Amino acid sequence: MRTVYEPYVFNGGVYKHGQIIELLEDVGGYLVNKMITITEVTMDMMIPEVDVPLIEELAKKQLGTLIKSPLTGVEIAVVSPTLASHHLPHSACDIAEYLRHPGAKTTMIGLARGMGRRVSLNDHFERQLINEHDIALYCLGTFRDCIINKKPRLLEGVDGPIVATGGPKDIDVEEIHGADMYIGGLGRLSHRMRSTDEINALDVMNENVGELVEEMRRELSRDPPAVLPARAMKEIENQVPEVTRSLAPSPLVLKMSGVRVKLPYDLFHQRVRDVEFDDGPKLGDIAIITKSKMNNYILVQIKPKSEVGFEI
Amino acid sequence: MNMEPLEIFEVYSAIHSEAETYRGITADVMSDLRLASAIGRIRIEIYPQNSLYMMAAILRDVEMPIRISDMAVVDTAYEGGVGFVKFKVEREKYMPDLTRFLWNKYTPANVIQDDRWTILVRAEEPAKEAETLPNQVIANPSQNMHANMIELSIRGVPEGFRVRYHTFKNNEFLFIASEDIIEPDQLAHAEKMMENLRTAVPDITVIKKADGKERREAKNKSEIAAENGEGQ
Repeated sequence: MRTVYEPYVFNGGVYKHGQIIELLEDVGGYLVNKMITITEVTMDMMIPEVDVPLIEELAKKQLGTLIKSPLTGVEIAVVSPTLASHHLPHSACDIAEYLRHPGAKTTMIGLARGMGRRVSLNDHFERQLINEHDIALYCLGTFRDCIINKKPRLLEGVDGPIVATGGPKDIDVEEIHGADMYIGGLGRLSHRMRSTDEINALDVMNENVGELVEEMRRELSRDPPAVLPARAMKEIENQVPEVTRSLAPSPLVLKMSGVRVKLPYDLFHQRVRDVEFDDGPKLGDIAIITKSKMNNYILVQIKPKSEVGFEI
Repeated sequence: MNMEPLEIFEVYSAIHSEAETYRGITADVMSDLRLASAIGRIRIEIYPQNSLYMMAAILRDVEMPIRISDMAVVDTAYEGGVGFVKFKVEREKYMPDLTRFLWNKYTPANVIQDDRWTILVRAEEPAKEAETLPNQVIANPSQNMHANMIELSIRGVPEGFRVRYHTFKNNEFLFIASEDIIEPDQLAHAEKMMENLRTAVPDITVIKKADGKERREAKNKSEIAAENGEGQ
């Protein structure tokens, strides 16, 4: 039977945090991301469901906290019609930051010609870049009329689930053509989000996006990727050690059914294709490996079990 | 016209919550640019369906150009066998402008600040310089105000309204932004807005919401009153 993994984040002291990693490896879990800030460490990990109490116990013993992070392993594109400097700070900045709290990796995308009403457009390149992400979250501003009548044009050509956010709280998702979810209370601002209302709106957003991800994971579990993306990520890290020397902030980004490897495609794609699993197949056989639209990085999209015919 | 700071601050949009949002944005930007005390009356109208944003503002009395004689007494001094031009500063507010002017003219090496209120400048002919310097203009608050009002408009306007028009005369600032060509009737409407603003009578009973400090004070007062009420 396939192991069910649960995403968790550990927060605690640096001292003896290696024991947590050792235990995680012993039970067959995966460390997705580790960040050390002075004496604190934050680790995103995928833990086998049955072994969560073990890690929880050790975390408690080390006076750390282990909390569920529903968005770990999800890459979200936070799309704003514009990221113009004279309108800083954008609400999209706070949105992207807040989505990272429960573990998501976010990419902020400011459309080149997205501003305005009549003139707003999205570009083929931008659509391709957004489509590389698991979820696209749009920040559509304050005006009800724009959100309903004009901005849906920006959602065209995006294949994944689309979350629209905006100022008005009373818009029904049916009114926005192409959106799968609408979250209100997140309109334009000219200060960082800090009031109770604003923070509540962000909490609601995280909760709703978490539910959407849950739904997507359920859907994905019907025909799962041929190899667990976290496992593919670990193998890439072990067999292509250059990735640890990449200067990108998170050199390996876990996606719902793939991995983004932040190394130049032309130099390293063959190495990534040749990554071997213990059970036999190479990554190139069970995944589609393409050049990413983001800085020519390597995008690994693992094929579903139904297409490959087996699961490892 | 003698006005209180922000005695009129109105934002109109067909949907009340949108107007409130833009009121907040404008207040934030005004506070950033320290314009809250300089603007007497301001009215903004937004018509998203027509991609139109209009702002009329009347500024409070703007200061005239500042000369050195307005902020310091210029004299000569003789110290250590060298002649200096001596500035005795009276209004410290324009100190950066004076220092900038002197640095540009005499180079930093020749400008010596003895203490907080005294500047000595090494010059070839101190007496002659001390005669001409007091008339020198070193700051122009109205010019800064113009730049700040433009900044306020650009930061406040909804993104994408790139066709812009503005006028600034007699302390009255008018700004229109749209996505399309600005029509004469829209201009006439904006001018009418300004006319209404000029003749409006401010409602002094309304708590001003623009300035964060005033809002906080009003809130504190109401909280204290509520606590006292509960105590009794």
